[in-house]
Order: sequence, then structure tokens, then C-alpha cells
Amino acid sequence: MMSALPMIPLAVGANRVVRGVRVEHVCGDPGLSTELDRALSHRIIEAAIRAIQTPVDGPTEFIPADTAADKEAASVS
Amino acid sequence: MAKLRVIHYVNQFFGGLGGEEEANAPLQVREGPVGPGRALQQALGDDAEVVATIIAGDNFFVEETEKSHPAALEALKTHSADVVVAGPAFDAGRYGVACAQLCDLAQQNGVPAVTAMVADNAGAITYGSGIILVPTGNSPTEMAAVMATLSRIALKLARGEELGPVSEEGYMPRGLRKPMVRERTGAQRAVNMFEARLQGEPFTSEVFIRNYDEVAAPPPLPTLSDKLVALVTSGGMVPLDNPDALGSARAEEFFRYDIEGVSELQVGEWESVHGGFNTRWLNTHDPNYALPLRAIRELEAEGALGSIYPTYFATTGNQTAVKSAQSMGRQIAAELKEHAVDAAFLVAT
Repeated sequence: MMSALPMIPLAVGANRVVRGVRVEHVCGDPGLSTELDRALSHRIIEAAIRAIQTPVDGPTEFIPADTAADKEAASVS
Repeated sequence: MAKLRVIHYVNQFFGGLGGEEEANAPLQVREGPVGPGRALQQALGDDAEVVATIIAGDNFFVEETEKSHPAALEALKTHSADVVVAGPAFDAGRYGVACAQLCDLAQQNGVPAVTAMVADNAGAITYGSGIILVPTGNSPTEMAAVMATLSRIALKLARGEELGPVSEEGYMPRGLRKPMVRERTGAQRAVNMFEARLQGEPFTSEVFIRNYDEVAAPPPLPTLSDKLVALVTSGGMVPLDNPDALGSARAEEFFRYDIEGVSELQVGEWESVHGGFNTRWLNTHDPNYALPLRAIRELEAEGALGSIYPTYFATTGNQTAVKSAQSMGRQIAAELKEHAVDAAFLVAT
């Protein structure tokens, strides 16, 4: 699952949790340019795919891959 | 004797800043009681004073913890808090998490704290065993009674007194056991309970079990490129005008919507009816934030995903009872299994 507040699903026992952005926009970030926003959304789904491909023993958090471009954009916005 | 110094925490709504549109409001501190803090002051009486109120937007407190937590801690120090009272948050999920986080933070820094919310609140589930938490019902009409319990516990904590057993003090069990001497042995008490049960008389068990289902993690799939994947959202995402009247809160039902051949969700064709957060980004900017169909289709086209189940499942995850969530989850899982779906992505809000 994708959640902006991963600690909650992890606490109740969800086994594969992908860290989303914010409750209001879990799978993207309107503060980014359209291009970067879509790339971020893409990486969140890639993290979900990676989660399903990964063996886990219990609640485990998966963090979408980061890119330098996003960080720059985030610090500007 | 100097009055005990109480710091009260409320969210943007109870702090009078506004509703969901103020959920990102940064943390601020006001002198004296605000909103429900007045009822708290009344319940505390003359021995203690609500010296300051911390107010923060729900999103701000729980999502920007790198800012909200240091600011809250600073307020506790500035006002030399003897005890923190947070909430009550009732069934408001993010507010509950904020209250619970603040209690946890205060305790870790040597300031005792107490909060109140429904036992199913995400805050109670996440932090319940580590903090002092008074269970409430759903409705703020209980405010006076809850404040009475909160203030009684807060005064004890502020004075450094030890709390009595859960059953007397009215807070939620934390799973702690304290040694005490009972009049009868365990065997005698067990037989008495058994007799009471056989005779239909009331008795109180000494074993409290309150655990969430432990679901073993399914084994991983080596690849999804040949698999059927389904999408589920608790973001209240439905076709425009909400044809099935999905509720904005406390949903007990989910609905299925056709996405076959749909490449992305467009503003003006879909909307979120979620009543627990500000839906403007979903409804005016990009509904795919709650049901990431665009990215899913891209990955399907790239071959990373085999195919997408032709309908998605939508409900509203807002103040949802655990029982309703379990029931919906079982039904959705059963349908996915029946249709040989290999994996599901759930976007939770």
C-alpha cells in the first residue's frame, strides 16, 4: 500500500508499505513541475512494484527512489 | 503553593483557526486556554493553570514533524510545563496521531502527558501502549466528561503521583502489570469467574486481549511484468457527482469503477468525496494522486506491469470503524482472488 503516514499502517501490521508524499496528494507533489511530479508518481509505483518483489517478515517500509532534480525543485518551491 | 502549569494542545479546528483549509497551519502558541481549554481549566480547578495552548494544523503536526516537534518541545520548555494535556481528538485520525505524538515527545523529555481519543483512532493504535490515553466516544458532546477524567489524571501526573490501576483511573491499558496482593488466589478467582459465567452473572476478566489481526506477509512475486494487478483506494475517488453516494466519512461500503481503456483520471471526470482532508489538489489539480492510474498505465506500457484489473475499488478511509475496514477488506480480497488477481496496490489516505 501507499501511505503518506507509513507509521500508522506499519503499526497495525501492514506488511508492505510505500511512503507517499502527503495525505492530500499521496502519489505525487503539486509543488513540483508537471514533469517532476509525474516522475515522482512513477517512482512511487516503482517502489510498490519493488515492495511486492521483496520478501518481508513483517511490516516493512519502502521508500521511493530519490533524485537530485526533485530535491532541487523541493528546495526552490 | 504555586499552581501547576498545564500546556494544552489543540488542532486548527478546536483552536479556532479554521477547518480543513487550515490543516497545514504551522504550530503557534497562545497564552492561556483556548477553545476546549476553557473546559479543561474549569475541570482542573484552582490547583493548576492552563498557562499556554499549542495550536497546529493536523497535516502540519504529523507530516512536518521535523518542524512541529522541535517547536512543540520549545513551547513546553518556555512555559515550564508540569504536564501536557492533548486533545481530546475523539475519532479524528490525524488529530489523534498529533496528540499521541506530542504526548510521546513530552514524556521522552521528562514532561508527563495525557490525551484522549477513541480506542480505534490511529493515534491510539500507533502510540497507545506508550502513553497515557483516555478512551472516548466519537462525539465532542462528551467534552466535559472527558476533560474531567483528563484533568484528574493530569493533576496526578503533574504532582508526580503514581497512577492507580487502569480500571480506576479510566485510561487505556498499556499492557503494564504491577505487583499487588489479592485477597484470593488465582485459582479461586478463576473458579469464581467460571461460576459467575455459568450463572449468567457479571464478572471481570483479568486477561485483556486487544490485538489487531496479524496477517502474514504473502511471499514476493519475482516480477509483475506478467501479472494482473488491481487498484484500491481509500481516498474517496469516484466518478464526478458520486453516482453511488459514497460517504465522506465512516464509510461501510466500497464501490467498483471501470477503468478499462482509461489512461489517467482527469479533473472534471472524477472527484474525491473524502471528508477528512482538503481535496482541492485531487479535484482541481490531479485525481491521480489518490488513484495513480497515469503512472500505472505508463508502467504497464513499459512492461513492468502485466495488466490492470478492469475495475478499481473505492472507499473513503475517514473515521472508518476497524470492523467496517475488515469487512470491506475481506470482500475486496475475496473478489480479487476469485478473479485471479496477483497483486493489489492500495492508496491509503
